[in-house]
Amino acid sequence: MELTTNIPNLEGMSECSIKPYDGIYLGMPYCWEYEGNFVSNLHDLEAGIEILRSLKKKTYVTTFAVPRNKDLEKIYRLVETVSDLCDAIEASNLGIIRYLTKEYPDVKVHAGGLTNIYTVSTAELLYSIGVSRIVPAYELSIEDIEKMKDVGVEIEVVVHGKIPVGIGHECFLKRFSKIVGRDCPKICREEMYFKSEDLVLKPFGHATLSGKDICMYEHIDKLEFADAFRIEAVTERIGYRERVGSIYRRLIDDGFSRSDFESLKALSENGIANGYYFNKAGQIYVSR
Amino acid sequence: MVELLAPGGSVEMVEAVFRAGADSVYSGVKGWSRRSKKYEMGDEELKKAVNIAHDYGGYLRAAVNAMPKAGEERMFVERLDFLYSIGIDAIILNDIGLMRITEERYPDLKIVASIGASILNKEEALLYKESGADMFVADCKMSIEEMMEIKAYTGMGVEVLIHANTDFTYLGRCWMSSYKALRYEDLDGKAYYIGSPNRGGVCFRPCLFDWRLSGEEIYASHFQLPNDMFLLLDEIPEMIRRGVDCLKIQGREYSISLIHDLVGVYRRFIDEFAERGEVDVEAYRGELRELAEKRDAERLKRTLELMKVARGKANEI
Repeated sequence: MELTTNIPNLEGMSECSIKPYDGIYLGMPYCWEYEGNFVSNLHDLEAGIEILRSLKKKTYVTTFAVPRNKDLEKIYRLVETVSDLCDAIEASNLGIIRYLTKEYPDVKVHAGGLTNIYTVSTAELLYSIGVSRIVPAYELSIEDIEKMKDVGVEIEVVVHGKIPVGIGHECFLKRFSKIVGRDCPKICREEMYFKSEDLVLKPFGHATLSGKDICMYEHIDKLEFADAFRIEAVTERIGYRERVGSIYRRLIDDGFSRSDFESLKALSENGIANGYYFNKAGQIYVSR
Repeated sequence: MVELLAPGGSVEMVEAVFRAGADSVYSGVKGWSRRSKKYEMGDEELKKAVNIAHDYGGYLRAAVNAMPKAGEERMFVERLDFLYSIGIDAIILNDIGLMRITEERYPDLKIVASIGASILNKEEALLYKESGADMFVADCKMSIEEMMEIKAYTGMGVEVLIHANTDFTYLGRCWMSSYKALRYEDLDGKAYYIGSPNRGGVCFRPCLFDWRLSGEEIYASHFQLPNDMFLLLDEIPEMIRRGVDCLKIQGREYSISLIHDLVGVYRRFIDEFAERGEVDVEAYRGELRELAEKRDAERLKRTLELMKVARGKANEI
C-alpha cells in the first residue's frame, strides 16, 4: 500500500513531514496565486523534485484543476519542464489528461479527484487512453469505487483530510480581503471558515473544502482493495502533514491504535466525517 | 437559424412551449436527470412528449445527465434502447463513459454534453467530441470568445443558457448539498440520491443559507454564497451573429404559464432579429423584468421547500 500526500510549495517541504509517505504530489491545484505554489514556480518545482529524489520518494506533480483556454499554455510549459523528472503527473481536467496521454505517452498520468470519475465506463475510457491511476469522484461510496478496481487502473482514495466540496472560476475569499485586512495571497494563510447551521466549509482559492476532516482510520480495512491512500494536506500546516502521516504509517505497518485515533480527532479543528464512503451525507461520521 | 430550446418538465409544459414558439424541448428521464423526479417523465409521458414535439415539427432531447451509480451501465443501455426506439432526437449526457457507449451503440444519435460536464477548455471539449459529443453546453461563466475558440477547435455545436442561474462553483463541480444532507432511495432498481445535484438532481441550495465568515473573529455575517439567476437579452444578437447554435431556457420546475411566456418573449426577440438584422432590446426588457419577478417568487418558494427537506423538517421534494 502506497501512502501519499500533497505539498503546495518549497516552504512546506520539511524532511520530517515527508518521511511517513511513499509518494508526494507537488503543487496546489486550487489556485495559481497561492504563495510559492509549485505549479506557478517552475524553478521551485525542480528544486522540490530534487529533494524528493534525494529522499527516495515517489515524485508526482499536480496541475491546476480547473483550467480555461487561457491557462493551457502555462500548464503545457510545466509538463514540458517536469515530464522527464517525475514519476507521474496528476491532472483533474479531462483536457489536460487528453494532452498528456497524446503528447507524452511515456509519462504516467494520474486522474485526480476533481476529474469527476463516477462510472466504471469512464474509468475504462481513461484507462484505455493511457491513464494509469485514478482518484474516483469524492462523492462515491466504497462499493462504487471497488467496482472500478476490475478495470485494471490503479485506485487512489483519500483516507484523511479536507476534500473539495466545490470548485469555481474565482476565489470567493478575495471578496473579503478588505474586511479581513489581508490581500491575496496572504489571506489564504488565515484559518477561516464559512459557517451556517451545522455546516462548516473552508474557502481556499477556487475551491471550497469540507470543514471537517475526512477520516477513515477506523474503517481502513474496507479500503484495502485500493493501491494508494492519500492524506489531503495541501492546505494544512507542516505539523499536520507530519503527524497525520505518521499515524497512518503506523496503522498500515502495525494496526489500529485507540490513542492514535484520539490524536487524529484532536487534530481536526471542526471534527471528523467519513465523506461519502457510506452512502451518507459527506459531513456525517459513522463509528466502527 | 439559432435553435430555441425550452424545458419540458411535464407533458403539458412540452405542449405549452411549442405553442409559444420553441424549436425544441428537453425532458428528463425518470431517475436519470439533474432534477427532482417530480419534473421528470416516465416511459408513457416521454412517448407523448416525443409525439408532441414531432407534431409541431420540433425536436425532443432526453436528459440523462445525472451521474449513475458505478455499475449501472447495463441499466443505462436499457434506457438508451428505449429512448432510441421512441424516436428522441438527441440525448443530453454528463458522463463521458456513457457518451462512448451511446456513440458506439447509436452513432446517428446526437449527443449533447450537459452543463454538468462543466467543459472548461478546448482540449477538454475535444476529448468529449472524440467520445461522441456533437454539442456542448457552455458554462455560464464562459465568454463568447472562449465558446467560439472551442467551437473552432473541435467543430462542436455551442449551446448557451439564456435563463438559468450562475453559482460560485462550476455546475457539476459542487458537492455542498450532499455534504450537508443526503438521502438514498431505490427507484425501480435505480439508485437515486436526494440531495446530490450530480447524482439525483435535487440540490438543497445550501449556498443560499445565512452564512458567516469566521476566523479569529467573525469577519462577516448574514451573506449568501453567490447563486444568481439571469435572463440574457443584450448578449443574444452577438451570440447569434458569432455562431452560437442553441439558446436554452432552463426551468422544468417552474409553472407552465411562466415558461410559456418566457419562450414567447424570446421567440419574438429572435424572430425580430432574424427579420431585421437588429432588434429593439428595450421593447423586451420590461416584459422580461415582469417575468423575472414571477420567476423569483416561484424560486423562493421552491428554495424554502428544499431547505426544509435538508433540515429534516419535510420529506416531499
